[in-house]
Amino acid sequence: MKASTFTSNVLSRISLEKPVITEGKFTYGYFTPDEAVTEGPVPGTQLTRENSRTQLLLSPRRNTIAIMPTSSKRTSLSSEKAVSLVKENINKLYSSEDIGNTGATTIASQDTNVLDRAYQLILRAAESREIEGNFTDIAADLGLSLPDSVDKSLLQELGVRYASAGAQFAVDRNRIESGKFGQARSFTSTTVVADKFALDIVLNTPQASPGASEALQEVRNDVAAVQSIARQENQQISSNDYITVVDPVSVKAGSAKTFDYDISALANVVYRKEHRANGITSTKLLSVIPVDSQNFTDFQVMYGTQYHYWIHTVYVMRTSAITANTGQVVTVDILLQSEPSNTISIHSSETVPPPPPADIAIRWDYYERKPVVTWSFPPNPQRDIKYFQVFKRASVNEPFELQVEYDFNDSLVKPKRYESIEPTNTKPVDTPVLSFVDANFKKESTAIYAVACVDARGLVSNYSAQIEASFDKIRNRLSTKYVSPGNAPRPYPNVFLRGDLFLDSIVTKNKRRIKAYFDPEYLKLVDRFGNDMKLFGTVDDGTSYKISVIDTDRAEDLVVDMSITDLLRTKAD
Amino acid sequence: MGFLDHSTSNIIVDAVLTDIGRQFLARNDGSFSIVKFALADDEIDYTMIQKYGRIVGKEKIEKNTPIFEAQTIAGLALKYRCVSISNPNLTKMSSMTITGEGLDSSGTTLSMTASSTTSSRLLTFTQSVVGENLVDVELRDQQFLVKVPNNFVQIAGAAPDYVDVDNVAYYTLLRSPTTTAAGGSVLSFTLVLKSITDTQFSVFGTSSDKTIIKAVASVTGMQSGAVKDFNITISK
Repeated sequence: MKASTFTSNVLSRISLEKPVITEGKFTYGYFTPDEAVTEGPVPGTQLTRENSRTQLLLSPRRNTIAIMPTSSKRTSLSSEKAVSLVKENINKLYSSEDIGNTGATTIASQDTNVLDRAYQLILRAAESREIEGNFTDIAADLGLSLPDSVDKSLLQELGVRYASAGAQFAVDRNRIESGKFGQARSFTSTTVVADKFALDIVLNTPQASPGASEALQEVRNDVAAVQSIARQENQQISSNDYITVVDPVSVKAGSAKTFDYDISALANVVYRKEHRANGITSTKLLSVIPVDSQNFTDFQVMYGTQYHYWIHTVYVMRTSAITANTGQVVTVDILLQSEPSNTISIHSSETVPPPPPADIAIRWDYYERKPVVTWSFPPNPQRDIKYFQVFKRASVNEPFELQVEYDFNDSLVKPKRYESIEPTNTKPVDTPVLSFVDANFKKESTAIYAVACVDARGLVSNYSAQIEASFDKIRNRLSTKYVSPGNAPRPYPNVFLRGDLFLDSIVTKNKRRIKAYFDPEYLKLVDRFGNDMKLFGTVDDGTSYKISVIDTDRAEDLVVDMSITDLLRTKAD
Repeated sequence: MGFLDHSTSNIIVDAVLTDIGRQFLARNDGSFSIVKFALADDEIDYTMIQKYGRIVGKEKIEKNTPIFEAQTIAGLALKYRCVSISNPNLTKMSSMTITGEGLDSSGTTLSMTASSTTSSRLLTFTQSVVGENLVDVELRDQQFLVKVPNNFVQIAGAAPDYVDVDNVAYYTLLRSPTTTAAGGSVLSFTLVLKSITDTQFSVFGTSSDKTIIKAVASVTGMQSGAVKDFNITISK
């Protein structure tokens, strides 16, 4: 076994209080066609109490982070001068490791993906144990195998991450973020290691969590280079190792008799790292803000991008120093930046569906001799409605059928649609169309019309108000009837009708026998991707159907089990 | 419906049913149901803002504006309805310009002559907004309400939705498929003279010249609310 020995310096560091980011949120103002490919505009003037509301209204989208400033001693400079001083000397910021020693590296890690990772881990565990069902079922089954000391509700809390699988939950996400997973996400660890052993320490660090391991792996290449360089340097310990060379922002004559120092907080520097949908990652210094700022708004946001924010507090340290060339004792001001705050991640996307179209009306066009359905844009501050859909059905007992979809989406990046629209039903138009002439309407028929809209994300609205139209030949005019108020959900267009939404049971009397018929319209149903939806269960998979017969006079009941044998498959076999 | 906010009055909301509303109520079949409402600012004199500024003018409007009694005639109850627009930064409403054959230089009077080739006129109404590059999508008119004197003119290729007691014909016309560069809507239609008898000229002709009939027509954008009125001068 070969062993090497390296000299190492004493590690020393200056501890500077760092700020904390307490919250981050994305606010969607309104739609712009280039929102997914261009960063939002920066307001022209500083936000003040007078113009802040106007600027926020003009802002199409923004990320806002809430900051808990440090409690350190403040500089005597005004906030404007302090910010200006930092901006002018942004290349002269020293970290505590720059000042403390010259042979050590600081490694900061934070597991921001703990939620995603835990979610995927549970799904894989369910798959290996062949547990099926929704996330509630999975969480309940997995919870049985956990010891009592484990909080099983954590599994269910992760269900909110189902959003990544395409479903949306109405659960307040902040509740989860502020829970145990939120605490885990915001936990930041900072480690100072000697350069000469940096890579060895990283490689031999026990993997406390997959997230910590991933965070260390990200810096692995950097650390390897640091260690390689450090080991190639002089192995002698020199007094020069204890000399820190800095470029101060100001120099004044000093005295060799007193060697004192003073540190005060100047400003906060905001950094941003972004992960774009196309895979591009970049990091940049975003802004210098006053040290007492309790929030920061980033207007240069691109829709659909994941952003990570962190902050350093910049301090000014006044201390004595010796000039390198003349050896003169002077008093210098040096800018130091604290360790990074915790990192907050914000995904700039919104999931608010549009409201249903307003003012639906039907009139008779006496020249075309056809009904004309008209509607208007609903008040929608997001201004992101990009499709209108016109539906029609013959009666409330039938489902709606799409007649036409007007596509006026001018977005540079088209959305993922959650519906499958027949191309023949889609009409691309340059400008919104708010009317529909039903060329298939027969004067003898009755039709119920409703309109819905789809936004730039592909999110669909509920139905508008439903209007029934029929032609009164005697009066030679269109008769309309208000069938249902607006906002009925797509799956339940009759939800606002008076009467039972569902037929709970079949009521009959004086019967002695029941004949049950299995007469499905389809033997196999597939989803849009061609996958069998497995809606029919047969004897082969142990499925049974039950008929519950209740005698209301005698208060007795009987449950009849029925099963279906798939003769088609049997014959094929 | 009138809305009164007066400290010395007990009346806060003065609501009456319009004649149409009474008809629906009279059906007595449970179908009467109020499903929406509209607001209007018929009483508001906005020149007060120009005269006294936003703060004082607003206060004068709030305190000094008399409120109309509630009207049972639907056509008079709300003349200047408020519209809901999603864009809170919208500062300019759209307007309409008229072009076509037989118009005078100011575009306010259309000349037509009976029994000649000028008995029909092709008119084009274009929606635009001053000082902006684009017409807000919610203000782009999709339908236009065209009111013409039914005794004298009609619109070619269209039938009126109804004709009121004053013989004003109401047409609802859809916009043309093309739009302007600013996204504004365009409406084109041909106004055609009906057969006008000498008796009509003698009855409806101007007092100074019984060979000329003067009438008024108007076009209203259903989304923007923009109105364009123009005179029609019909010569014998």
